[in-house]
Amino acid sequence: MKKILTLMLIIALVLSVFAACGGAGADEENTQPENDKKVLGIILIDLTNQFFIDMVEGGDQAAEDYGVEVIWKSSDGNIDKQISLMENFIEQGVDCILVNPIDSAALEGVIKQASEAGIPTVAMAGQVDVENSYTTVYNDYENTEIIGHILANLVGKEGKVALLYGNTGNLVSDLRQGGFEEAMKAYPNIELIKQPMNWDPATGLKAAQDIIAANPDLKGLHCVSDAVTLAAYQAIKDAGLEDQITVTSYDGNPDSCIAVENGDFVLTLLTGSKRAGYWNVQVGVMLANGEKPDEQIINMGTHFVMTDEMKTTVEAMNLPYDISIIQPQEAIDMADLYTDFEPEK
Amino acid sequence: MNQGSPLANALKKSNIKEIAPIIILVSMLLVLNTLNKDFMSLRTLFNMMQQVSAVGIVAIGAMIVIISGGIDFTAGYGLAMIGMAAGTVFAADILGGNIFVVTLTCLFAGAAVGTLNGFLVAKLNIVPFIATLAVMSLLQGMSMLIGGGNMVMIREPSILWLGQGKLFQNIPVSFVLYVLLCFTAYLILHKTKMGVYIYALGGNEDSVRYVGINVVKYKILLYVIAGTYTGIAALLTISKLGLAAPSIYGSTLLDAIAAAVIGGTSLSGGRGKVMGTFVGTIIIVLITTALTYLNIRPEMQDVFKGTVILLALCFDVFISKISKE
Repeated sequence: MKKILTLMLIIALVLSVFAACGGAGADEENTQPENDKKVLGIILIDLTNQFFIDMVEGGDQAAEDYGVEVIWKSSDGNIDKQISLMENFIEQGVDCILVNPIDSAALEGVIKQASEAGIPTVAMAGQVDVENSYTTVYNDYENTEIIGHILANLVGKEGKVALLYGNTGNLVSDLRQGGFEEAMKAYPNIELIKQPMNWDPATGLKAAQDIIAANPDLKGLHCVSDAVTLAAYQAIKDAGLEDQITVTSYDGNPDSCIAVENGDFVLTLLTGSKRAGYWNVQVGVMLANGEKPDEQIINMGTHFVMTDEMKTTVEAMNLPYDISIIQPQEAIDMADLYTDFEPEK
Repeated sequence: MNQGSPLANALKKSNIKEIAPIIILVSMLLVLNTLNKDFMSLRTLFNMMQQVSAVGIVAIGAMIVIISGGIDFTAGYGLAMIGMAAGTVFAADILGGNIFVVTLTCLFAGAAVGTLNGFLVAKLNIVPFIATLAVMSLLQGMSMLIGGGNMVMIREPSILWLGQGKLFQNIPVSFVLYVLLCFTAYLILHKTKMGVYIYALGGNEDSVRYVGINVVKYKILLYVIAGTYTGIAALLTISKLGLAAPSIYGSTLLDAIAAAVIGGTSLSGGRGKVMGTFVGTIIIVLITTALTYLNIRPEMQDVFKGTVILLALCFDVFISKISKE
């Protein structure tokens, strides 16, 4: 029995190795440009994370809209693999490489190689100071800072405000936490209570329950990801404190936009992983066509989602920022249809 | 050495193991109450009741598997996969997508995961650690694939009632379900033939086999029970949150196994009590709650949790050593 099992396992292993080689072979065939289609090589950190899966969906849509070919690769969270994937793309002579650096510094060498080979590169949410290499980001830090100011003003610049962040050490979470904390420095009478939610709605709900129980006088709550905010809101509803606690959120998920429309949340911010995928491919196409952006860092457009009524209130705050404010329904359309990224043809 | 001494020691050992979690819990409550006067409130109590339910149900399932000498790593991602399956059934309005259909989906998906685990462990004799680890990875992928990994909002009031509803305006419905499931597990473990076999399997599997008991059948069955418990926990989780998402696994797996171990379940099998796991679950949930009340750095949560689990494990080893001497 055990021998048969061991044998089966060995066969399975051997087969999967062959399958992996076969798979790689198939990919290489794909890279041969057919009828002059531009080819973009995109390397993500890993392809098991929801954010990246959504990025692929958005990016594929852009590829279809622009008639280019996109080859997606996963680094499986491994910097060495990421570098060798870059080298492969350079060898294959793709028209543009987009990479989500695990470590920007470690990629500098291979990005230089790409530049020498005449291939433009994009470091998505990373930065490498090399000729013909660009950075694409959406400004989480500043956006969250603005939300912090809006929330502080709404609660009357005093009292207790809670922040649910993702987890320390995660780039996205750190930016979104940092921006909020920066804003709160301007309000000495606000007491900030922080809890991580590990991007998990259940953890977020428990954190919100505990925070509310420990601080019955809580006045505001900001959570850095919509899915978790929606769950955390259950705690507020359960405690009957909808009128006392002002809620803000982030990501621009359609369900969250509905919550903004209903008045459950004051605002959310439309970023969107699908949109990020679409937009990055769009930037890649531009570079592949030989266009040169004016700035080395390219910012993706993000939008504050709120009702017209709240828009008036926020505008009256006279915050020193130039922000785009859209209505919930507009945001829902944008998230799925990429209406604000229409091909400029 | 006289013959009575090992027996006396064994008795003492089981007493300590049962009393220890209660001592930990009571001292935690006392310390918390001293440090923050607001802690002892009805709101805290009712919050706790809701918070322990889902993880507590998973912990009971985990305990049954551990008593039998196995381990089940599928509870975390299993919870996410089952939740997503139920959410998808609800969103797609399959057969009306009502509470009945959603509940059946959870029970069926949970039992299916359990059957797969049981088949791999009992029939193919794969080490539970490896088998359930592989299934865990499978479920992780499936939780992302089902419904495209998109979040689903649950808006059906009857489903939400399970996780959010209150009896007599205060007692969470989910807690009542949890207590009922604890009681069911107690009956299975102590009032049925199967219960005796589960403990015996963890004690000495070979001797159970020699006696002529159908080990494969009971082993599969106990994994099915654990899977079904996870299914019910998934149902309560999505209804509590009002949404299903692939990320709802959170720290369920570690918390559940830790709750069982803190509650005195021996990782080497053969020992464990429903009551102990119940108390263990409260301790695990209380650790994170406590840190919010005491305003301690959130990063310390994991440090505290890890320390408590390690202490419980050391205690387990220590007690076994004493009993051997």
